[in-house]
Amino acid sequence: MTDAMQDGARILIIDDSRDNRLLLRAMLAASGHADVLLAESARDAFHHLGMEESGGPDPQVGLILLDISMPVLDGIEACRLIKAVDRLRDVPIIMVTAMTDPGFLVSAFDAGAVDYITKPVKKMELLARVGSALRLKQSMDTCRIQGLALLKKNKELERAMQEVKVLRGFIPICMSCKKIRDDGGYWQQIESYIQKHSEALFSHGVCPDCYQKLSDQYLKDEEFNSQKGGFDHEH
Amino acid sequence: MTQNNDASNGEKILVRADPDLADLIPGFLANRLKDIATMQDALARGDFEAVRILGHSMKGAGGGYGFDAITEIGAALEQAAKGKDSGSIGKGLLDLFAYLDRVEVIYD
Repeated sequence: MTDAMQDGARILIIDDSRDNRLLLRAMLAASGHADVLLAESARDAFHHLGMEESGGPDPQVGLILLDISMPVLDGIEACRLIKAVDRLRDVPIIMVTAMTDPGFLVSAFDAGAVDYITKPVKKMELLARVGSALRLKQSMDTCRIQGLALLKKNKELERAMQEVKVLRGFIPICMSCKKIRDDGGYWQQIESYIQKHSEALFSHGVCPDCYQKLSDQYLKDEEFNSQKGGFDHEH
Repeated sequence: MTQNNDASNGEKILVRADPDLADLIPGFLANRLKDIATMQDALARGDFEAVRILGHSMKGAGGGYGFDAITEIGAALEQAAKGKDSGSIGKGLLDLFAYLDRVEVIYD
């Protein structure tokens, strides 16, 4: 099975010449591209693409082959109008034209075409360019899907980050008692502040310096109490 | 690829065509005969634009079906119409008629 047969994409052929439409369809069919729509004009193509004001179902076209020289609305203008539709923006458009003036080709690329094939069409060239454009579309679709998935993950991450409690920035702290002033202007114990703004919990103990200080104080108090008791006894 | 073949009714022009196009080629050639009549009418009323459009279309389609000569004649008709050259248009139509009369398709 060739790559073309694996693609299975719907192809829209837009050409005012019936002979050309049938020719391209036959060439594509011989390579396994059986899903082909034909449009005899730009307006007919817009109908196929659901671009009319009344709207229409999205035909899920994967590639457009577009003639330049058509009456009423030429291929370049048609290309521009198709590309202006958001859901059709990524559909590759290949111009198929007997016009060799470089100016037309520049205009076609400016209008959003990704490639061109000159008429008379050679089957091998047509199939090569169609295959290339379809692979490009497939890559773009994959990138878009991955991009959407990344966006979703990013949003989930942002939500999770908001729930994470992190202390940062300048925190007003009393240099004497070490109380901390919160966002509301209220001075609170350092333990209360940290517990409120983080996942930390406190288990209370006594550090060596304070233990020594408290011990000394305790001994002083004991001595004072015993001296006071002796004085009271005497008197 | 074409090949001249001397036959009692005149030279045949053999064209090898893609078998995938076998169903379409008779209709394509029949349409070219219709084009001759259409272009003759257009020429008679001085509508060079109509001749140009048909010539351009022929130029684009001929070789794709396997008929390079139709592409060449179409290009010549398109140019002649751009230059409003009735004589060259007339010659081109004769060449096309003669070609269609002699062409024989072989499917490889």
